[in-house]
Amino acid sequence: MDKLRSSVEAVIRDYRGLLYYIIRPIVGDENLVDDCFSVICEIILRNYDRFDPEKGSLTGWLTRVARNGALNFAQSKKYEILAMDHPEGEDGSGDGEGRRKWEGVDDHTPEDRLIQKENMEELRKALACLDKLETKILLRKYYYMQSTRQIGAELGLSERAVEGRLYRIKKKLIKRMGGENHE
Amino acid sequence: MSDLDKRRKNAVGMDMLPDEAELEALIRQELPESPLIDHYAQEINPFRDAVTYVITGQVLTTITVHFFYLQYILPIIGVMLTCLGMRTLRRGNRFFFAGWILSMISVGWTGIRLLLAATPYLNELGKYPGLCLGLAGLGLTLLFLFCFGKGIQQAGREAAQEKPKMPTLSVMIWQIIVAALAMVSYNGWVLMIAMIAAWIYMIRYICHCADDLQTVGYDVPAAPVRFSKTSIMLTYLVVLVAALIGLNWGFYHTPLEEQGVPEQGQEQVRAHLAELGFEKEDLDGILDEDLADLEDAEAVIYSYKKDQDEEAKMEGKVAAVRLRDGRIKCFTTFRYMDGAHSGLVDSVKLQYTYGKEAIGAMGRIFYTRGGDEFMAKVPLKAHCENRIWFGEVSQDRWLAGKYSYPAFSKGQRGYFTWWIEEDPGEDLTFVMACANFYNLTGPIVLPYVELPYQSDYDMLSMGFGGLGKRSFQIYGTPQFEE
Repeated sequence: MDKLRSSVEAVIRDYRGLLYYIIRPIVGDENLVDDCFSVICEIILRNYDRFDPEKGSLTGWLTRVARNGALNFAQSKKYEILAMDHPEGEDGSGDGEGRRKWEGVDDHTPEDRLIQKENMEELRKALACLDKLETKILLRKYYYMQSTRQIGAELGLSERAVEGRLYRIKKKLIKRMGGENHE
Repeated sequence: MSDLDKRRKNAVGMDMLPDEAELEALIRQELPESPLIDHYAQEINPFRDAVTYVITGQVLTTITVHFFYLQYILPIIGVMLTCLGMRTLRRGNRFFFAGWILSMISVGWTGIRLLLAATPYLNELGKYPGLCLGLAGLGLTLLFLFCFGKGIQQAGREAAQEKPKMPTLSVMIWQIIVAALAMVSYNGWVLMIAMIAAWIYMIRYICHCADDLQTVGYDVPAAPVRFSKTSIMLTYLVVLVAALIGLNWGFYHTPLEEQGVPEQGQEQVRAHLAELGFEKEDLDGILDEDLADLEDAEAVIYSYKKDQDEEAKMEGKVAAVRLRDGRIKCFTTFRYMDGAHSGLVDSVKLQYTYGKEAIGAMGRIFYTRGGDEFMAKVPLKAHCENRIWFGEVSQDRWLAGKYSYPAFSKGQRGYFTWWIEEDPGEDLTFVMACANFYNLTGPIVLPYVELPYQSDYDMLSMGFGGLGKRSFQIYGTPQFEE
């Protein structure tokens, strides 16, 4: 047990930069970042045995854990804008609650839900058609929740250029989801 | 298509299709489940893109390919990528900041070198100033590599990495060895192949080090930028291209003093030459003053040769007129076919019977513009060069001139005439007349070349008929009857 703990601590030490990198834009408040980091370290320690290298990379798993943990942390601190629908999943990294919440909306008829499900399927296909840079921008914005300023700085783009690209990406996705007839 | 699909398609543009806000909600739901996260997790950090830019830039600056202007294009793109990469890293530590400053100096330096290459000044600098420029460039590169390597090392140290490496050290040593080999003009294959192998190893090593640094990369803050990399790159390239076009135009374009074409006279001389066989079509194109001394002509002989290109871009003739006083006057008449002349500059190198010296020469070009015919006088300059042929030193003589036809002119044609004199007791049985036309197709020609090419050696070494250059030849050896 101690051996596992020390190896997890080594992982946390090595990937400290990654964890802070993911936490910081989600939590926002610099005074809370260290607290959030501690919480996430605990989550990692608790769930590290669930990590399966065959299912994905360690970086990917840590990214999911840190991101969802930071969202929960933010939600618990009443950061309602940031903490939308993303609590921890079964493997410590999932996003089941958001989906459950959406699925539980009462004013949707079964047909609406089916169409919504179809939309998700179309979105998956549309996402696969994005180029590498577009995918990175989208992930940074909607998964890593980075600011336009941060995205721009790291990709060598001005804030305006990032906003323009995001706008075009969304248009592209809507067009692909809606077919040729959609304007 | 299922019924559901049809209903969904029918719902396009209606509430069923997500609007922007709904799309964002869908994306937020979809992304956490997406395999994209694992795929891109290692690529999303503030360090990776910037370091990739710097490494790619450095690779491009070390590649020298003398093909399709790549020897200029690759370093320009290379220094720009390096600078854009360093721009992101500049707030990482003081070495990165220094590297960013040096990379900007490199951008300026490479640009100035490129612009200088489009002027005669770089050639005029001579060997030692040229060497100094090269060494200064090498010093700049080494200094940059040092700062970049130290920056990475320090970033590793700040991230509590054990024994952080300085990955650029081997590249610096490699650069020094290559520069030393260039200075001693080393041409051996074995060492060259070893250097290429070392270069490939180094690049792999640097990439490996960059991968090692992915945990470090998250601690390097990316500096915000005001202008996007694409716009900076495009602006820089557009400015360079515009400057190159301007320099090429300024140094090559050779407008001549335009005159109206005078009315024809010298009817008797023309009739006499026509009787001797001078073709009327050619006679009509020659000015009176160039025919005035041909009244005692005793023979006219022709040689017809077009340029040796399969797709004829020029046509011309060589006519030699023998005079009673022992002079022989040659006319090379020429006509450019559609679009064959240069918008930048045309030039000619006239060679004549070996061992003879031209005692006079004249060049005229003609063209029409707005329905009117114009002409201009082409100044010809005599050249003489010693040539060693099988151990014997002889003098090679030729005439050279350059000219530019005005933009939007048509019907470009002209003639060159030169005359030689028989020595006492000599009876030349033929004359050799060779007109080598060179033109620059532009609008960018690099490096700057003195036109016309001064020797056959230059012509070959400059890439005869290569990018941005074109040549034609009108060559004739009219034989006089015994």
